[in-house]
Amino acid sequence: MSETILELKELRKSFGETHVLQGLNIQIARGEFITLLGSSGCGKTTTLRIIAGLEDPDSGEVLLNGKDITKLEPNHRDVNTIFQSYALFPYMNVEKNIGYGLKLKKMPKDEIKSKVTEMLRMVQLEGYEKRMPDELSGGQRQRVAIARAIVNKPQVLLLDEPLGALDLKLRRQMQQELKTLQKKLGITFIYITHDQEEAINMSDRIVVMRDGVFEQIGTPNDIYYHPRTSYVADFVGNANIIRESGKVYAVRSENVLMEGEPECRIEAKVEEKSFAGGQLRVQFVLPDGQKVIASRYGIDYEIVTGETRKIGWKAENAVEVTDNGI
Amino acid sequence: MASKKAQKPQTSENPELTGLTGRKKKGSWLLLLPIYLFTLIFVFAPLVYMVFLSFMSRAEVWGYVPEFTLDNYKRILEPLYFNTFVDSLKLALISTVAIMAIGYPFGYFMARMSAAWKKRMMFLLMLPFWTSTLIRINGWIIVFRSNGVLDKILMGLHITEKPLKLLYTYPAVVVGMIYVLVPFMILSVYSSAEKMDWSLVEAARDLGASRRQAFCSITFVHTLPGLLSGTILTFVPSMGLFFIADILGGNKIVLVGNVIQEQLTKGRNLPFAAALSVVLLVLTSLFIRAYQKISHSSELEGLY
Repeated sequence: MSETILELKELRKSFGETHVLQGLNIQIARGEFITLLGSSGCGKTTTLRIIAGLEDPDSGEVLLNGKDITKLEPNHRDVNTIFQSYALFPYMNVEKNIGYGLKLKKMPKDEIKSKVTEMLRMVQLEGYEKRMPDELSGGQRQRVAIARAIVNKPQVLLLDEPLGALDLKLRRQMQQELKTLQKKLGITFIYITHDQEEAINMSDRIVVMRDGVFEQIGTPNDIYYHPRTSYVADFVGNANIIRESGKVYAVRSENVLMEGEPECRIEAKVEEKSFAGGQLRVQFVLPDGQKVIASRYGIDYEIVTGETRKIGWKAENAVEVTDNGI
Repeated sequence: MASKKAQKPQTSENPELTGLTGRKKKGSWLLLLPIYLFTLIFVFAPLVYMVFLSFMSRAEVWGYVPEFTLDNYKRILEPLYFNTFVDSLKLALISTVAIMAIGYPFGYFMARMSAAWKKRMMFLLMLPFWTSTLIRINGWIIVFRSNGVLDKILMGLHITEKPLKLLYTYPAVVVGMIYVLVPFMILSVYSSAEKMDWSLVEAARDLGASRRQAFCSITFVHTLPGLLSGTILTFVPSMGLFFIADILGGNKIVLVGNVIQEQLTKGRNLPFAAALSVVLLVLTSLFIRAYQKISHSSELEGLY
């Protein structure tokens, strides 16, 4: 991996009695697209705010290009944020919103104007200079927020669930656009989401976060195929967590075989059958009461609720994980 | 804005909507009738009477003689009375600036407090309103008078050696004005700061603004409507709060309000008192008009 641009060292933060961050360590490479993935309350937004300088850690360090910026005011950090609520300035039009950072840097007016025009072309909002934020749709506001941050050419861009408020179709489209933009600009992106699909689609590396701890850091492939804990296996891969003779395995639903294969040795009762998104999902109950979900593409009429079938999985598809609940 | 509105279907084109609003209008007018009548009888009619009175001649004992005259207004231009207007404006200005300096930061920090502290502060702010202002102003006499509470504290701390004799001085009146009017400034700044989205300040800081720059370009602009309405809420009444000058200023400080009161009670010159009131009314209306102009344009153009 190339040179490190951002490093977190033993970052800790508590709000009163709650330990929000419990010693975070990571090195992030220049130009990397890294995603902090976790459910709400896991500390991912706090981590981002500490990197941005909007929150002070109790202990630990934030290093940007090897320099300690932990105590630096947010305006002196070469880092910009795209806020979840966009936080566009309501009294300023699009042009002034985007030019805000440049104006503070005392850039000449005509230069600001040309930069703003360039940015608006990049986010496909040409001609929207004079619009006020309340005259824009959610997607357009999102684009203005992106333009307002990247026009400053930060070394690291922080994105706090930027697509959370958009509908699914627009979300998919923006995922693609953000990814393209990131490649083009070569800026390091630190992206926050609770959506595992989004994380897998966009990231070079994913950091699965839980209760203020980085539970696993790895490529989407790593995280999906080689989860280290039962939590990661469940949260990212939606895998079945199966406990067998003191060991815990993660088996993803598409790898659960239903009759006919030599591996099918466990008697299981079909409890529920559902069809969604082109996928059939069958929930089995094992003799010891554990539940296992199997999935297939297409509709299978032969499977009847209440009947007993022999199911199983290939040994290579059962990944042994540390049990830390789901 | 205009283009966006034009794209929307016109309300009048929709028969159902027109019918609805038509009915609503009719009903609400009837409901509002008592209020209109009340305003007409108890606010508008006395106002007309007052204007009428200001052009009449003075009667020997009480009331007026129905003879048209401009003498009342001419008399206002005499230095004796004209100066009271100048003094009143000056006092109102000084008080308002002091109230801004105290009330703005107070309201701003109150909006940043935790919910529990906001409640407590609000309670403390409301507490004085449970007693008559007149009584509370009289209470200040105990503080300000020679060898009063303030003198005793200052002399006890060896800051001063002799009693300051603060009662019946200009500063005493200004303090009284601030004391009575500052809650209005605090509450109006608070209410606009309370509505503020603080993530905007964070966004500004993130984009490179120092604390001061973020305050000037974001926070101040967002709380300006509160500051402006607070200014009107304090400036306009401070022109007319004659009893504060009366109680804390003795008869050294004479404001328009005092003159009106004296002309009405001791002087028994109703037409002249009316003329003074009309001028005061016109003056304060002009200030309110100016405020509306400023606040309206600031809303539209964002002061950038």
